[in-house]
Amino acid sequence: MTLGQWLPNRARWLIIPSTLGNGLGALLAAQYVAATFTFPQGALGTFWILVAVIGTAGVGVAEALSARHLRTFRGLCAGSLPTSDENRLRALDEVRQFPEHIGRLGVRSWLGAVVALALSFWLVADAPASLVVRIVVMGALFGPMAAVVVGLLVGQRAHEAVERLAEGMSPEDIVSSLRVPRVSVRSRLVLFTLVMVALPSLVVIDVTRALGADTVETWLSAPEEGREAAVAAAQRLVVLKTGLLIAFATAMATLAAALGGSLVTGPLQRIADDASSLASGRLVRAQLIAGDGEVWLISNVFSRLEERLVSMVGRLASATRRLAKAASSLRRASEDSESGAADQAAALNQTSATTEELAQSARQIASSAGSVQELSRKTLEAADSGLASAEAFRAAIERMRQDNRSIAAAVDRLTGRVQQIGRIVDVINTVADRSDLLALSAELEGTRAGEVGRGFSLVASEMRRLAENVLESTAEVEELITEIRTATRQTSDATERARALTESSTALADEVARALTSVAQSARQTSDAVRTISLATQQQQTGTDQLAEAMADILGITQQSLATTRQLTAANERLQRLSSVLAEVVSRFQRQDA
Amino acid sequence: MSEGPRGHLVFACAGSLYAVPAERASEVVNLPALTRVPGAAPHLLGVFAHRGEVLPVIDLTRLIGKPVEERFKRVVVVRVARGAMAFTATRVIGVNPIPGALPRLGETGALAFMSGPATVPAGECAAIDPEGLLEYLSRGR
Amino acid sequence: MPRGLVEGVVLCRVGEARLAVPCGEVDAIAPLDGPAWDVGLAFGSAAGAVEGKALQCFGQLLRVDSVDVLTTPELTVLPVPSLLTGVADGALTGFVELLGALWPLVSAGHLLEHLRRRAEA
Repeated sequence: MTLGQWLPNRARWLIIPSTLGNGLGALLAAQYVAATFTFPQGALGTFWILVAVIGTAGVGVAEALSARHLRTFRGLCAGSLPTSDENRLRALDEVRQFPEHIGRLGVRSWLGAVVALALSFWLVADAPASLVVRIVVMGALFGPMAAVVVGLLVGQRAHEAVERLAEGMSPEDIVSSLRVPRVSVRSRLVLFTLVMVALPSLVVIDVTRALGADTVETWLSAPEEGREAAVAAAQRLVVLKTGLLIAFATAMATLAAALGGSLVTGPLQRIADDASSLASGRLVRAQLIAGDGEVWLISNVFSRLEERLVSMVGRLASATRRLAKAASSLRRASEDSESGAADQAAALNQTSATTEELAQSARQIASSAGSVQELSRKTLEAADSGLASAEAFRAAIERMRQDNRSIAAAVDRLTGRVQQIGRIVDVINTVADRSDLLALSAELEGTRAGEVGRGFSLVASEMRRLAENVLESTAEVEELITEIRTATRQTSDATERARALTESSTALADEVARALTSVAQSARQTSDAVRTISLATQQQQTGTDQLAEAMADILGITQQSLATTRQLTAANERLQRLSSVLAEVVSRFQRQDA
Repeated sequence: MSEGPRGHLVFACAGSLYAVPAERASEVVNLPALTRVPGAAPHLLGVFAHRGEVLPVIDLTRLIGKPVEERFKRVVVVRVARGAMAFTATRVIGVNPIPGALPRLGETGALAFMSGPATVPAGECAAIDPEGLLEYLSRGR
Repeated sequence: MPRGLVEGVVLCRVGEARLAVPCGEVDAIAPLDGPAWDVGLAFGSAAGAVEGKALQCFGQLLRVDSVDVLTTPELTVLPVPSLLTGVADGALTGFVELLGALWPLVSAGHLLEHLRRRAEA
């Protein structure tokens, strides 16, 4: 049932116990007075009329006054005011204070009405003063009882109304906006006991006194023989009346006690139920539990506690979920990290090994660089020596070329001479040949001339012999010339070849010198470069050694890191387990409204 | 017929010695440039003009079937009644006496017109019968 | 030996050999075209080059390497030595001295005959 559905006619519903209770109380009180008191003749009717008039008026006035106190609540019930939080809070405050208010109002109304009745009865019926006093006393006795009972009855309903109005609102907000009730349970219990124990006792005393007086009167008024019977009858009546009163009082007290008890225990029971729910892990939305005095305080505290607990559990559940999630991701990250750290450690191991190799290589390079430097130094020396040799060679070649040139010139001159000789020899040959032919012809002529020409033939023959000798000599000379020519040609060829050779040798020597210069330069550069390399390698070696050391350090740190990561992973696992446990714990608080 | 030794002009031709009667050997000259003759036999190296006369030059090495490629220096001009011819010669030795009665060196061909061997200071030589040889050579035409 | 005269000769060169033909016996000097008798055969040499000149004589062609015509009016003809009489089937009729050299003078008709016979042989 929503508030809107519940509200209509609830103002009347709240007030009606007051009207009925006070009305009934007035009737009972009047009846008591009528029963226990001997009214003058005809006064009893007046009494009742007055009771009816004044009682009705008192009830009406009380109703009107109480209605004034519930202005906002009535507006809400009538629908003339919107059910805003502000209005509800105001109405809630009105309703909460209503039982106390109506109690006080009831007492005042009762006193007013009793005084009015007594005065009016005294004035109208000319009642004896004792009766007036008695009426006042009875009103004073019955009024508080009725007020207490009405207060308890209204209190019951007010609690329901308060809870209805508080529905859906934060107890915290409600409590913080309401004043702390002044009346404590203890004072109420004291008042209650006073009213419910003292007043009946007074009544009983009064009744007893009145009945005792009746008995005495009966004893005196009755005839002698019938005294005992009359007294016995009177005694029975007293017992009856007293019993009725005691029963009434007991009933009232019991009712009041029951009501009062339920007013106190009802909220406590609900708090206990809610606490039990909480204890069993069922979270209900915090609901204000109406109560009085310390119970109200307890209920407030409990509601706030419950609300905070619900909110806390909600936050805790959310936090737990986040924690579980975080722990899960942390575990994954930590696993990744562990894996990464392991990989890193492996890579670092490898890198460290590589760095060590690098350092080794650097040392080898340094060593090799030293060898190369030595080699390049030797190369340089060899190249310098080679250059000197090449220079010497070139000089020798140059001398050889000059010699060759001289030889060639000599051969040319020789060739010229030989040609001259050849020409001379040709001339001699020609002459000798002609001489030979001439001598032959002469010999033939001499022969043909017979004996006469014999001497001529002999001379011719001698001439021929001379010519032939000349020819033979010239042939030898020609052979010599041929040999000389061959030799000179060979010499010429040789010198030509030597010239070409010296040319090519010179070129070669130049080339060799250039090459050696280049080699020397290269060797020098190599030497310089090797020195640079050597220095750089030494430097690098230092750096590499440092690097190797640093790598070893890093490796150690990484291994530590790996160990730490493993520990972290283990811690994460524990954390996740804890998070699971926490989640399980939080899950016990099942939100009933969610 | 017995004849005493007669003077012969001895000359060498490619290693062999030949001799012609001194009275037939008219002249020894240096070998001139030769003109080749159409339709001539191989041993006829050519002709040259000498003192207004055309002289055929005979290569004796080719004539006797032992051709030698040699540079001949001289020719020996032989003149008989029927005409004149010249023999190639490497060297002319001179006039030497050769006995008259010598056996022929062959029965047929050119050798039938050579006799010997005759011993001369330079060695052994073949004596040529110029008339017969000219006759023989002319017959070939 | 009787010395004859000849009026104008055609001087031919065949390889290193020389030859003179009386102008009267030569009909024409023509470029070498068609079948011709190779004069080189008469000198015992191999067939001459394809290029050359041809002498047209008696309706036939004689192939030579080069040709010059000498129209000197009266040329003295040296007689054929006895040893060479009848050589080349009688084609050799004498020698003429020209340009510092000796040239065999041949009769074209006999030369043709000689070449034909050589070809047949």
